[in-house]
Amino acid sequence: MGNEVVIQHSCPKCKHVTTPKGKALTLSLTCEKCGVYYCVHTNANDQFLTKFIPALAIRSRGKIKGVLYEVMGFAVKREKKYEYQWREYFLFNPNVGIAFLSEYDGNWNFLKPYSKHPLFVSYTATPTIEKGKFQLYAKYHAEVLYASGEFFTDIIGSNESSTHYEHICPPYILNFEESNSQLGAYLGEYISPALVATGFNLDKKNLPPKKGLGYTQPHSFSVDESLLLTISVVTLLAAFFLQWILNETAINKKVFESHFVQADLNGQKMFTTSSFQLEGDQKNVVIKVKAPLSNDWFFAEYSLINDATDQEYIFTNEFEYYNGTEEGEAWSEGSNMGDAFLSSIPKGKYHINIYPEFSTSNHEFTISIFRDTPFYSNFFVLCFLLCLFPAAFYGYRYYREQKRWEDSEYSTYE
Amino acid sequence: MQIYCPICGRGYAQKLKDTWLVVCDTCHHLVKGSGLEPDQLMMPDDWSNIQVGTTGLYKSQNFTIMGRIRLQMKNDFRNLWCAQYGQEIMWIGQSLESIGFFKPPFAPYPHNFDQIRAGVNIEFSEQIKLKCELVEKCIEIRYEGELSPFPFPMGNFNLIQASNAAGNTVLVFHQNENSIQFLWGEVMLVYGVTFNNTKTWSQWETK
Amino acid sequence: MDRLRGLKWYLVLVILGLSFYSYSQIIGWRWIWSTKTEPPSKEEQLRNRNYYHK
Repeated sequence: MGNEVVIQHSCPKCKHVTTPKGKALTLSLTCEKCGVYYCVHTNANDQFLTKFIPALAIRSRGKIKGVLYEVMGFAVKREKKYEYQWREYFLFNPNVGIAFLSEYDGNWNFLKPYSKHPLFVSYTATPTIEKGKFQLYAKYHAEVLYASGEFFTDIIGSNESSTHYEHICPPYILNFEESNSQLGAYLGEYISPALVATGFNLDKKNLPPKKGLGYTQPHSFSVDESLLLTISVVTLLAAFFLQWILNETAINKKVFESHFVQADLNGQKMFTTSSFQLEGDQKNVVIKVKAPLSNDWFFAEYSLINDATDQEYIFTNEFEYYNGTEEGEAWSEGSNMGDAFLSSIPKGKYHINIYPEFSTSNHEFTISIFRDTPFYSNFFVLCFLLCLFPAAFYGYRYYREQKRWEDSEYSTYE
Repeated sequence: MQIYCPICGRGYAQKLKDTWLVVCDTCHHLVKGSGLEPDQLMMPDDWSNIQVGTTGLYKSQNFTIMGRIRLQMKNDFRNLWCAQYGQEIMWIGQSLESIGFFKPPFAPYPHNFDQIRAGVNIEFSEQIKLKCELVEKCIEIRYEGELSPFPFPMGNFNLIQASNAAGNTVLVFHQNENSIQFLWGEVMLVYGVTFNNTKTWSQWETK
Repeated sequence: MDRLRGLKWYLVLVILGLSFYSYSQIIGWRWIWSTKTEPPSKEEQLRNRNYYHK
């Protein structure tokens, strides 16, 4: 429709005429000839002291998330307090609007305007949107060290009068800018250098080298945390239930008990029990030995022998009990009972040969034998092993999050 | 009613019930209306895909874009599209990322402003509070097509836009304490609205 | 299935762990703190057999 109004701007310094690619949307630009930055509708202009070379050339085109963008402008910004610098590429496609690629230490974020930022309504430290709950990472004022190309705002004026809020919920970032004249908000997402290079048909080596973990970079290993917790809790409950069932069904039967006195040895070195039956297929056997010790010990070697097959299980057991009074206080140490837990003993008829070593004061002991006694140690080992992966995962995540937040003055990590 | 451009003779059929201004699309001269500078009738291209003749659907009723007022601020812009909406007029406010539909006509703003700036809440009514997101002086105003009356044709006003989470938005045109007009409407993302007969920029393939 | 990304092997280990635990409990195999038993030496074997059959 109609004859088009051609928009051209003349450099306030060298008078070089530029036809902006952004047409009437372009509100500030740098002169292609002398590099002076100037605003279209005001007298503001600036000459930069240092020149920076953009990794993505002005006017080059690249595809991000399937959309073809043209690089309209490039700016190097510096945070005023801590003086760290980052680079911003201003992108445009008239069919989809404006976008930004922001690069710091070789880590990239792709941002688009986002009018649903909760800070438009009221201030909150943890704005929550459909992408998740965001945490404040930085609040700063920025200055522009360098700019080239064209922009749809006075980037020097608007940056220097604005307070910037950066909230993150990796891989997402929410930016909010507040000045006396405008509020602006952007929602961004971490984008790998490889995707930037591919999008702009560049060799990755031509992009700034990546240093460290980007502050919105997702972890290289991540899992669905709620599912991990669900699996862990369900497994622990299942293990607990199994333990309870097996405890309830354990027969825990005393299969033998006898009292032995040293005098009955009659010069021999061992006692032999009568035979007893161990039922069930493979079950544990617990041997409990009790002796009336007082400041004494009891040691014996035992040999559990299958009557039919002569299969032998040799083990020893020692226990001691000491007591007394020291400075009016009674004390005791040890026990006058000992036990042995034999795992997985096949069923059958057995007897035990006992080779006791009596001290000078104790001359007797009692032995009791139990079959299929409930026990808990495997349950605790299982719980420990089950917790290892979630603990390692949360430990790893804590470490990486600590690294992510180490440059933020709003870090909640020690 | 048919009117003709006094320069090129092109004929225009007035379609709005209260046509205030008609700018010739061929020679950018006033066909109806007076008092504007020639520059103000030269509409610059700003990559907008909406154009005079674009149609759309809002609240189950069709509208047709008849004309545009382009408000240039120091750091932003607004296209104020004048649309025929059934028998009524509707203004459509367009920025880079959002679009607002303003059905009620211009009305005097009932409150006054004291040190207005972006970020503060303005109490539009007892129930409705809006957060001010834009306070900028209009530094240039341009016209095209057929338009309903606009209260500040020379553009010497501050434009204030304020919105809330429910999508209510107000565009306030503040010339001085005694001369404040506003448009009341609803704001939504550009991508949430479908227009027909729009400009397409084929050199920017998106797939 | 995308929710299981990175957790499939953990789920497999968990199922294997539970099965192994159940099997151990059933056969009365205590993984730790079980009394160490040793097969007898030939001498011990002879000694035990002689005494018992005496």
